[in-house]
Amino acid sequence: MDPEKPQPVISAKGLTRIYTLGDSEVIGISQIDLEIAAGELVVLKGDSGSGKSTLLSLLAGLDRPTRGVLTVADHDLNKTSDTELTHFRRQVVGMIFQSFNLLPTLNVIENACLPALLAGKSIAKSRSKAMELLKWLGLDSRTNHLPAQLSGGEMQRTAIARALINDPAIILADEPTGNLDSRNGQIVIDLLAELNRKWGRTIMIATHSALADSKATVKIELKDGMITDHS
Amino acid sequence: MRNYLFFFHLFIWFSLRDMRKHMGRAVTVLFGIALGAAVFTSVRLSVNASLDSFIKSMDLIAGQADYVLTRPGGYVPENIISKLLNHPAIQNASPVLKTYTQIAQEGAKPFLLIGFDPILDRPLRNWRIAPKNNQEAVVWLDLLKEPYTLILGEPLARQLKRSPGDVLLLENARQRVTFKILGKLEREGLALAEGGRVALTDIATFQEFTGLIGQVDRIDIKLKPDTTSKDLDEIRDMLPESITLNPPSATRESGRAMIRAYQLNLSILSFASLFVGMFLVYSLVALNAASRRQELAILRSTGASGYHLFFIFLAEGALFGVGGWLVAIPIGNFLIKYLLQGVSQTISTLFVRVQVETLSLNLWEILFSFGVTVFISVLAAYQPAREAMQVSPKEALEISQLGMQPRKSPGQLALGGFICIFLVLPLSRLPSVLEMPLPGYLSILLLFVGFSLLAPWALQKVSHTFSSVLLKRIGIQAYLASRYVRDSGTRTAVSVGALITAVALFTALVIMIFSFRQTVEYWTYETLKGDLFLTSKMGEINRFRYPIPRQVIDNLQDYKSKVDILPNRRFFLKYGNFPYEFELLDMQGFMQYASFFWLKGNPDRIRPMLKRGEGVIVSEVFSNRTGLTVGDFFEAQLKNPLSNCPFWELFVIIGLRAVWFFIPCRILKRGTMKLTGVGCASFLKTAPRIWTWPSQSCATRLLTAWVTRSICTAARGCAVPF
Repeated sequence: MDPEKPQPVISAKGLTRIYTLGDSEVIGISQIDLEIAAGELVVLKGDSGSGKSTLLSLLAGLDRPTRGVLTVADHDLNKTSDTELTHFRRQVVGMIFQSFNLLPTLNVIENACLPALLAGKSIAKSRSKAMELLKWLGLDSRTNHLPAQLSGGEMQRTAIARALINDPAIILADEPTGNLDSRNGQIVIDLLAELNRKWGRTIMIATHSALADSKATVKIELKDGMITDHS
Repeated sequence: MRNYLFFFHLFIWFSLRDMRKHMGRAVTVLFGIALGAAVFTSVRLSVNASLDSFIKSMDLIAGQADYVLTRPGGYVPENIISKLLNHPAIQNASPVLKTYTQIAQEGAKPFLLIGFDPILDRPLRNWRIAPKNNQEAVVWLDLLKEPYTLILGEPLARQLKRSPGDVLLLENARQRVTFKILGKLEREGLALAEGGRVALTDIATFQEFTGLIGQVDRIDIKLKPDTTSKDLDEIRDMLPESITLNPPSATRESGRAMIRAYQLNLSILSFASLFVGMFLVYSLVALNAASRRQELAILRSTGASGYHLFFIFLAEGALFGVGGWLVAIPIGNFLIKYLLQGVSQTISTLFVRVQVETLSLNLWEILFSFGVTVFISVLAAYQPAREAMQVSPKEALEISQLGMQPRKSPGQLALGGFICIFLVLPLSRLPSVLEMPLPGYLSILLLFVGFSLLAPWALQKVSHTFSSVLLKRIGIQAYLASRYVRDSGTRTAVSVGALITAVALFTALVIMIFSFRQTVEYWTYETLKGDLFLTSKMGEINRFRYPIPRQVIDNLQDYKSKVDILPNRRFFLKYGNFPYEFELLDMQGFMQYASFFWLKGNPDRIRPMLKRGEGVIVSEVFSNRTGLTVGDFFEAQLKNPLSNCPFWELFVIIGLRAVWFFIPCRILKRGTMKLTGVGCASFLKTAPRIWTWPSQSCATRLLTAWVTRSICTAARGCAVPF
């Protein structure tokens, strides 16, 4: 290994995920080789069914690969147990979803606090950190509102706060602007870009949209579960 | 600690707030489990109160006695007392007679009349006459010297609205006699037996009243402190062979055992109501787990472990258990008033007389009720909690429908169901465990589980067969509904289980109510075909110890040309420690109008034997409990020594009544046991007219006899000659 070259935060070799549906097999991704250094803003592009969400789910520890090697922030995701994978999701990655995925019975601050509380942090510390993030995201006046009382942009910003609460090494966003209008979509992309630029967070955004193209440091194009372009 | 605090918060955020959103569902389930808990707890408390009342009465009546002399199926000759008192090991001996009597008035409630010797009884029992101008000594001297005098328990005097100096017209099977009230008892010792519905009279008065001259029910003895087992053997040796010497606890324990068995059965039945509550909890928690699957996946994706989800749903179940139990308190408070009355009446009718005064609440019973309710609720939540635990975090993404684990196939469930059903029969044949019919209960449970497990497979088959028909005839909605039901797997199985349980409960209740009526019909129209039943007054409550008077029997002979009279007599005996009812019938006459439901063998061969006075028929329960079966020989002790008693061969029949058997009267005629004419419950056949007994309400008598008979006679099966 080249000592000058920084250790990649994401490293995949021959990564394959195949789903079994009845008697047939569906290829999610196939033979993906990938190395992403820390501090990159990766934009993952491709049509529906190209494997973007599958790749993100593997990187986020939501799913396990069928074949291949996957290491994320020094965690070998092929060998981790379920418990370790749960800890991985809590501590190492922050996930942002297209449909926001906020819990409807929890208000903004509770949603934002949740991963910190799951990680064993005290309620006071978690709230304080959540308040800090929500203030930065412009949601400090909406902390006691339930998701149903928020706009799409507000919900997605709450989801960003939740993703950031545990200071994860990587933030993964699956179509974060997919359910937003272009103005709110731009706000979200700008926020993610700011996170990357100011704080050096590694961010991977899977999207159809071109909003994030100009912010990307790495672009990956997927088609039929395989990388067709990596620049 | 921090983890617990966080879990508490998470539970409030995730579960309680959702419940608040669907308040109607939550309240319904809470009420369901509360109703189950209330029934379960009330039934247990009612039986416990009856049991406590029985034990308390038995202890109060036994007093300080170390041993009790009785004669199974008969009376103890009074003259033994002088022999006993002469024995150096005996400190005191006191004769006792007891009967239930009532004032001669329509609708009067029976009370316990105790006949005793006030002098001999002093060291054995605690009783005291309420002070009336310091004349206590005068009162009980009057009790000794004045015939037909008595002292009333204070509650009884209050209920009868009588005071010392008043008179009471009392009646029994023989006669009506006016008693003078000499005083009231202080509320202590013996006066507390039967809730104070007790009266004391001198033994001589009692004997005249009941016609038991020279006989007593029992003699209680108190031994000197240094009594040895050799002394006890000596005492036994000096007694006639038919008289038994047992500690007073023996009677208490046999009564307790009978009530316990009843308690167990009632507890199981009432537990079933809790079981229905359990299904409600299951349904709601399962619905929550299914409808909130996406939220569960979000929780998992944000770092919640499977166990977090598992415990959230278990906690939901526990919350329903705790909440349901709390709501059960006021419901139970309402229910128990009715159950207490019903249960104590049933125990009094079937086993031992109980008079419940107070409801005792002990900590153990409260904790038990709480524990069972919460356990059942948590158990109900277990399966949905496990399903919630298995929700994959990737379901938070749009690719959730890919790669889901297939559920257990209906074929596998059906196989399990068939195995359960197959096991039912052999399991039900197993003997009881620790005197509890656990294999029977388990086989019923297996039956429920078996059919529940078959449900998804059956639904799949039905759905497969009929879905196209449904589509054509009703439309897409019916088609989709059938597919939904087919695919709902475990939830369908549990729902079917709930339905089966509910239907089974309903059926059980209907049978309980209608079996009496139906059995009466069987007895009247199919089994016995008797037109009129004649019993002595308060026969049931006094365990038929007082036969129909000789004079009445003689009078009945005048009607022999017009009616067939079938005599019958019952005794309450024990086989080892197992109490049973011994019933004597004129089989020759009986078989003309009645029949048994036989369990084994060829009835055509058995009937002539019974008519000839050969053999004994026992109930299935008697056979199971004693281990005696067809071809065995049976030994019973009545009034006469064992050596003179014949050994009877057994036939087994199924019976609803727990413990009883019949023997043909002819055996008794051949043996040395003497029947005092006709038994206490007789039935007559008239053709074509109905013969009525003067001065008795025919309908009431018929009903009394029917209910009595209905329990003992509805039996099915056949006997086997050996």
